[in-house]
Amino acid sequence: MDLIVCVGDHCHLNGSEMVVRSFQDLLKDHGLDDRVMLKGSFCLGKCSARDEVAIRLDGTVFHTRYQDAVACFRREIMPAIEAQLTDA
Amino acid sequence: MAKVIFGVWDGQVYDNRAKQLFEIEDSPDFAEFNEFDPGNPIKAFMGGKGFFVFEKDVSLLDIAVCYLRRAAHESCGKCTPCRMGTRILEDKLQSLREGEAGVGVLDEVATLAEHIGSTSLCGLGQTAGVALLEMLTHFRDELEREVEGGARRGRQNCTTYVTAPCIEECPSKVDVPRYIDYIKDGKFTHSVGVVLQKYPMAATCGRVCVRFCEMACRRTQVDEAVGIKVLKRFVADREKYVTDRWFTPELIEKKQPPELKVAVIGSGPAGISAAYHLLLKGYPVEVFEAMTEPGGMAAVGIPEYRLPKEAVLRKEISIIESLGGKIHYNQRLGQHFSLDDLRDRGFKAVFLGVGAHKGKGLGIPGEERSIAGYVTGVKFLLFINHYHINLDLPMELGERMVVVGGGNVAMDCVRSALRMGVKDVHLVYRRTRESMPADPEEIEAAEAEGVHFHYLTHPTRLVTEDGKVKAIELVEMEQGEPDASGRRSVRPREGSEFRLDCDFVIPAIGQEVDQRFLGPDDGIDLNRWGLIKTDETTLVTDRPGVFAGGDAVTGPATLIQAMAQGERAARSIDDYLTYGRVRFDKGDRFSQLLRSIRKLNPEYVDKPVKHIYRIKAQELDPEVRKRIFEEVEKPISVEEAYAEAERCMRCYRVYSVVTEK
Repeated sequence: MDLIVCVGDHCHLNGSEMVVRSFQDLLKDHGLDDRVMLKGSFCLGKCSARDEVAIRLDGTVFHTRYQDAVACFRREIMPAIEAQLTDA
Repeated sequence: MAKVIFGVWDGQVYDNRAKQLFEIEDSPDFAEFNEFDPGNPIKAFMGGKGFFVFEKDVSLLDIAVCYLRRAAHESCGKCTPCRMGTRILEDKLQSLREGEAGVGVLDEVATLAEHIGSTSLCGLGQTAGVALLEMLTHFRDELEREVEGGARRGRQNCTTYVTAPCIEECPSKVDVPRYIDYIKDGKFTHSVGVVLQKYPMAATCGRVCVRFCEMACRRTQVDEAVGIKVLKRFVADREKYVTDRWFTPELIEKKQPPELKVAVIGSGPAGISAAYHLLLKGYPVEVFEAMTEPGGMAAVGIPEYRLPKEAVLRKEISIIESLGGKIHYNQRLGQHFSLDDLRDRGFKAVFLGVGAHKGKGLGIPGEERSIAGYVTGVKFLLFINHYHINLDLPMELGERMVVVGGGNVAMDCVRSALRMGVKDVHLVYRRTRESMPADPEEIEAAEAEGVHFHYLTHPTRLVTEDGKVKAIELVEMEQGEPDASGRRSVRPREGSEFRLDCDFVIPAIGQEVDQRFLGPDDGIDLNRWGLIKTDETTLVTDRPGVFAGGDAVTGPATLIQAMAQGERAARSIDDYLTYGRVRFDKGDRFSQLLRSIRKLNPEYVDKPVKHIYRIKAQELDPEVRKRIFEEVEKPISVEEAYAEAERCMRCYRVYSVVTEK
């Protein structure tokens, strides 16, 4: 399963780097780093009008401010990952 | 325009002595020779191929004495004809000038000059007597009249300059033959020291320089240019000189008052070089960098396989901190602070080295913001460095990529893409392989690694679907007649349109200055290309105390040009803070004179030289290297370095001008 963080121009300026760093740690903490592949992309085509970073898990796109990356992971992304893992 | 009364250059004799000065024809070749500095006419000029006299009552003996004195001073002393001959020649000319010797001594002078030229081992001695011999051959009567007249014409104002074709072509004017000499002698520390006089990034330059020096190398007419770049890399790597022992604040001889603070915007090659020279001149320097790492385009625009960032670039930039400078990261001019803020914080001068980081688009339909699978070349390289290399993040790049452009950035993009695991990489360029601006070595390397090249092809439309790149539509080009510059025009061939399915497109057709750093009231003007307007030589902008250099002034150029401008700006800033204005620089002026005199004749090799071909630096096998970002070029051995250094012919030349004041 691929978790893709946008590192394009817009998202980069909104702090993709910090999002990538937190996600790398979070996946490791949850023991998911062998099942979920964290990747970067140059634009997901879903730029947020606000100062947010776009993230995609399979077909679903999430947006988060870099300050809220950890909360977003716990609240939205983690359940989505778990749902998929159970499906599989 | 300066009028040549008489003279010889490269065997061609000019003799207008029978004419009145105003009757002499103007020649555009001598347009530069009116004045040396403003209000100071040039009376005569002497160089390695001859001399010119522009005004009456010039003492030929005096200019020859002055010329030979400089040659004797420059002589390395390793061969007797040059070491002793130039001194004896100087003495003899001096006694002639002082009226202590008779016309007969002119014959001795001629014999001696001939011998020095034919028996000296390097370019310095071989050319030291040339102008003098030309004088004696074609204008002996002038010299005799001067000797017989006995009337000493008084000392003239004579300025000398020593250079070599490689030094002159180098924007930073690095003394190339000297650092190669030190390698011959096994003095590697001294060798690096010669380079460090000009810029702190010796190992970086030894890897990625475009080598104007090697293009100018006279050795190209014998066999191949001397491997100037590999030798620089050899000594810089070997000496691991970037140690706190070498660079400490104690190195700074004279400290300036602490209130003369200078701000440097951008930690790219231009900014780092400016900061380095300002620190060495004793000024407190603070560098402001918009990104989280230093190095500017050198850090984000050059791939890891050509320039290792941690081991080389960052170490060299840390010299700034070792010397007592500060680097502030995440500080973007125009966003976090303005020029007025800097003034209010007490900075007395500012150097703008903001670079040209904005990639140009293709200007074709379908190209809008936020399309998945479309990013400009510079951004691509920047993000690869930032995320893939630094954060170890795999990137989603698809299966087939198309890069548009023919420069080094395009080459960097295709070669990086292979290393990121893209299977099928295509390069589209609208002209032929021969007219590609990229280094031939880079093109060959990309070919060896399996990039598909499409020459004489141009994009016409980007095909997208659901905000994603699907394909690119291309058209074949045909060549027209060569234009005035010799470059053949190209135009689309009708009916040759075709479509290339792909999921990633990268335009790498040039960069421009991102103008967001400027506020409306900053008082900095841009020219019609969107570059910062400065005085060409002094790099002064329209705002007092603000100087600019690097890509932001020249447009996307090279590391060495940026470092040269940084150094030049540091001298201008030093002048500005010391004298309130930028003063005349004789080195700059001599370079201008030499550029104009070179139009008269190209450099060539007239003495037989044994053919020895240059060493080839080893490279990683293409099949291995295209999968990894490890450095491709391997260092050379000590034996190879000695052998390569021996190939240098030391083409030093002395030049002198006589001026009125």
